Amino acid sequence: MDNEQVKLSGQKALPPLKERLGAKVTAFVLLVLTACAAAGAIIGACLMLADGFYTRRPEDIKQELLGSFVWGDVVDICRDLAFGAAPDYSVEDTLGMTNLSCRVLSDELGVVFDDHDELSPSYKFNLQEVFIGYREDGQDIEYDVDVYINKSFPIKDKYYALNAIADTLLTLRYWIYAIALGSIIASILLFCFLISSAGHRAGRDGVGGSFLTKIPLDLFWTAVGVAECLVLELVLESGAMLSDAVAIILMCAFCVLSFCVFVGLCINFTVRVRMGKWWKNTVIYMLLHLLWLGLKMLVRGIGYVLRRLPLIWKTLLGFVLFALLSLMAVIPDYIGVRMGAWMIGLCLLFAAVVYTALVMRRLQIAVRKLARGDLSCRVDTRRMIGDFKEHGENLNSIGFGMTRAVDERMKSERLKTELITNVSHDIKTPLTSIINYVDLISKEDTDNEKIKEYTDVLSRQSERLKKLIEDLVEASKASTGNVDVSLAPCDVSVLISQSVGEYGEKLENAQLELLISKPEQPLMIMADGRLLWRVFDNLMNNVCKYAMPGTRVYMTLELSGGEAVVSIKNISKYPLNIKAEELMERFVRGDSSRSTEGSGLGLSIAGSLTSLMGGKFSVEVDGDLFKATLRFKKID
Amino acid sequence: MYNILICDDERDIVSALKIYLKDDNYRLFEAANGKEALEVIGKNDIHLALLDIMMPVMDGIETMVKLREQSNLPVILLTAKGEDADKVLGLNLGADDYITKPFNPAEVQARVKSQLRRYMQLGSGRIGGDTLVIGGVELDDKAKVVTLDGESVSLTPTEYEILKLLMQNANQVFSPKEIYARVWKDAPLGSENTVAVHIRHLREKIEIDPAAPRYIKVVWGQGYKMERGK
Repeated sequence: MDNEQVKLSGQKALPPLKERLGAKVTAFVLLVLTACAAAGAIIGACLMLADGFYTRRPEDIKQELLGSFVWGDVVDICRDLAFGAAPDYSVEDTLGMTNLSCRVLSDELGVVFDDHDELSPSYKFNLQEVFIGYREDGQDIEYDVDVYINKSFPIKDKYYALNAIADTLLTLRYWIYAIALGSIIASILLFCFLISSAGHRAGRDGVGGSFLTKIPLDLFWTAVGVAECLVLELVLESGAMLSDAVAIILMCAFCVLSFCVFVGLCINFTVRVRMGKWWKNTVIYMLLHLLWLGLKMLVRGIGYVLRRLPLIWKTLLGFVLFALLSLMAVIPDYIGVRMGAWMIGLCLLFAAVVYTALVMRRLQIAVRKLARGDLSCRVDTRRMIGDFKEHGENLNSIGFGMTRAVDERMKSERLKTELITNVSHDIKTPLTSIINYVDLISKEDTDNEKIKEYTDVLSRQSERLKKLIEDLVEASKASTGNVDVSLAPCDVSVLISQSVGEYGEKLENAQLELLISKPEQPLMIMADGRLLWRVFDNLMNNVCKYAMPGTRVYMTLELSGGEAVVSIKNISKYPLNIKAEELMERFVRGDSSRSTEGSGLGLSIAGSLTSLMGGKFSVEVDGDLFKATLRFKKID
Repeated sequence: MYNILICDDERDIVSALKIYLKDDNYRLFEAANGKEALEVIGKNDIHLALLDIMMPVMDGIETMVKLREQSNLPVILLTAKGEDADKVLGLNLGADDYITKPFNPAEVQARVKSQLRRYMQLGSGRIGGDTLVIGGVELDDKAKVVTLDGESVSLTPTEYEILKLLMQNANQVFSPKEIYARVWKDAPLGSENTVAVHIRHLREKIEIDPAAPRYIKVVWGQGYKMERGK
C-alpha cells in the first residue's frame, strides 16, 4: 500500500502525524512545559489569593512586601548609629545609594539621626524599641526607628526591584487565571494526542508495543513506583543538606520527572489496552490462571476417579462420608460444631434423596412413553450427573435406534412398493401381447375342440395374472400407506345401496340371495368414498367367488356404541380350515390348493384401506360361516 | 377414411392393434417412438393417435405435449402405467382418453370410434332447445331419443328419466332416495336399492367401461352425478 501511495503521488508521502516520532517527542516536551506552566500558574494564583492580592489595595500589598525586607536593613543602620558611625547603606547597595531614609529616636538622646525628606511621598514603617546591643553598663540599647522608602524609587536598588516584582504580580493577578486555563487545555489536548497516537509507528499497520509493554503490568508499575520512592527519598535527603532554594528546585525537578513518568505510564497502558487482553500480561493474572488450571485438573482428576468408580462404591463412599459427619455429632465437643455437622449431613442426605427422586421420576416418564411406542421421546439429560446422565443417554440412544429402525423399515417398505409398481409395469407389456394374441387365436375358425379348450385356459389364466398384478400393486400401496386419503362425510346406507346396484347381477349369476338390513336414517361416517368402495368391492367380490351357491348373503348396517357397523355374512363354498387372522394375511385364501380364481389379496387390501381411513376391519370364521365386519366412528 | 397412428415400441402390440383396428374406414400408420410419431403426424393428415407412454427416444407424454402445441387431434394414451396419479397427469396434459394395459380389444375399438366421431363432428353442432348435451351423450327431449357419439341408444323409460334428471342438473349429486322420489314420484320406502340397479344398467349402455365411467359418475357414499366436460 505504501508503494502504491509513492507511485501515485510521485514523491514519498509523509506518514500521518500519529506515526511520526518527531511529532510525538515535540508533543511530549510541549506537554511537560504546558503542565509546568499550569502548575506554576495555579500555585501562583493560590499564593496570591492567600496574600490577599485580590482584596487589598496595591499600596498595602507593597507596604507589606517591602516591610518584610526593611527589618534587616534597619538593624544594620541602628548598629552603625549605636557605635557612632553614620548609617552606611552600602550594605544594601554597592553604589552607597538607596531609596531608604530613616529617622532614629532614642529615649535619652532624642533624634539621633534623620535623613528623611518630608516632601517626597514615602512608605513609612514605624519600628519601636529596636534592640541593637548592650551598653557598657549592661543596659539594652534600643531605638525607635521610622523608616521611609521613597515611592518614586529613584535609585535602582533592592526595593526598586521588589516594587517592580510587586507591580508585575499585580498586573498578572488576573491574567494568571487565563494562563492557568490555557495551559491546562493545551496539556489536555497534547495528552489526548499522545494517548491516541500511542502504539502507532510509521511503516506498521495496527498497534504494536515496545519491549516495555512486554513486562507484566503490575510488575512494571511496582518497579516504577519503587524507583520513584527512591528518587523522592534521595531528593528529600539531599534537600535537608542543601539550601532552601536548591531544595525547592530539586523538588520541582522531581515533580517534573514524576509527571514525565506518569505520562509515560499512561501511554504504555494505552498501548497495552489497544493490543487487547492487557490483563493477561500481569503477574496476578498469571498466578490466578495457574491456580485455576491446577484447580481444574484437581476437579477433573476427582471426577475421573469418581466416574471410574463402580456405582456401588460411589454409594458406599457417600454413605461413609455421611456416617463420618454423623459421627462428628457424637464426639464430645462444642455443641455448636456437633449440631452443625449433623445438620450439614442431614441437608446433604436430603438433597441427594430429592435429586435422585426427581431424576428417577424423569427417567420413569421417559421410559413409560418409550414403552407406549412414542419413539420420539427423549430424556432431558442436561441437569443430570454421573450415572443418571449415562442412563438417560442410553435410553435416548435406544429411542433413537428404534426410531431409525422404524424409519428404515418404512423406507424399505416404500422401496418395495416402488419395486413392485415398476415390475408390474414391465410385466404388463408382455402380458398385453399374451392376452391379445390368445384373444386372436380364440377368434380364429377351428374345428379342433382341444385348441378351443386350451385357449380358454390361457385366456382365463392370463386374466387372472392381470388381476393378480393389479391387486399386488394395490395391496403393497395400501399396506405402506402409500395412498392418498381424503376423508369426507359419507352415508354408509347409500354406499350399501350402491353396492347392491353394482353387484346385483353378479350375485344372481352366482345364485346368491342378498338380504339387507339397514336403518331408515342416513348414517354418516368420515371416510374416503372411493377407498371405502374398494373395501366393499373386495368383500362383495369375495362373496361372489367363495359363497356357496343357493345360500343367502346377509349385509347389515347398525349403530352400536357410537359406531357404524357393517357386517357381511355368507356360507363358504369350501371348508374354512384356516384361522381368521391368517385369512387377513397376504396371499392366503380359504382353499389351500389355490386352484380358484383370485389373488388372495382382497381381505388384506380391505383391512389396510380400512385402517388408513381410521376404521376397524375384522374377520370371523365359525365353521363355514364367514363374517367380515367394518367399524367406523359415527359423526353427526 | 380416417388416418390413425399407432405408436408403441413393442412391435407385437402394434401388430395386434392393427389387427383389431382393421376396418375399411381406417388407414393405419405406425411409429416405434415419439420422435417417429411426430414425423408421421407432420407428413400425414392424422385424425387420431394411440400413444404408449414408456418408449425410448421420446416418451408419450413429451410427444403429446409437443403435439398439442400445433394440433388438437384426439390422443388416446395406451399404457401400462395404471395408477390414478398417472391417469390424472396424462389427462391434464392434454390426452383425450386413457386406456391401461393389458387392454380389452373391444374397449380400444369403442374408444377409438367414440373419439373419432366426436373429433370429426366437432363444430357441426345443430342442437335445438330441447336437446341436452354432455360430452358425447345427447338427449333430445322432444323426440325422446338419446344418442351416444351420434349413435342412438335404446333406454327404458326409467333409465331415460334418470339420465334426463342427471343431465338437467349436471354436476349435482343425487342420492338414490332423491332419484327415486323424482323419477318414480313416490316415497322411497326402502326401495332405493332399485335405483342403483337401474343406474348400473344405464352405465352399461352409455359407458364403454362401466367400471370406469366417463359420464355417469358414482360418488361413493353419496349418490350419482353427471359431469359437464371441458
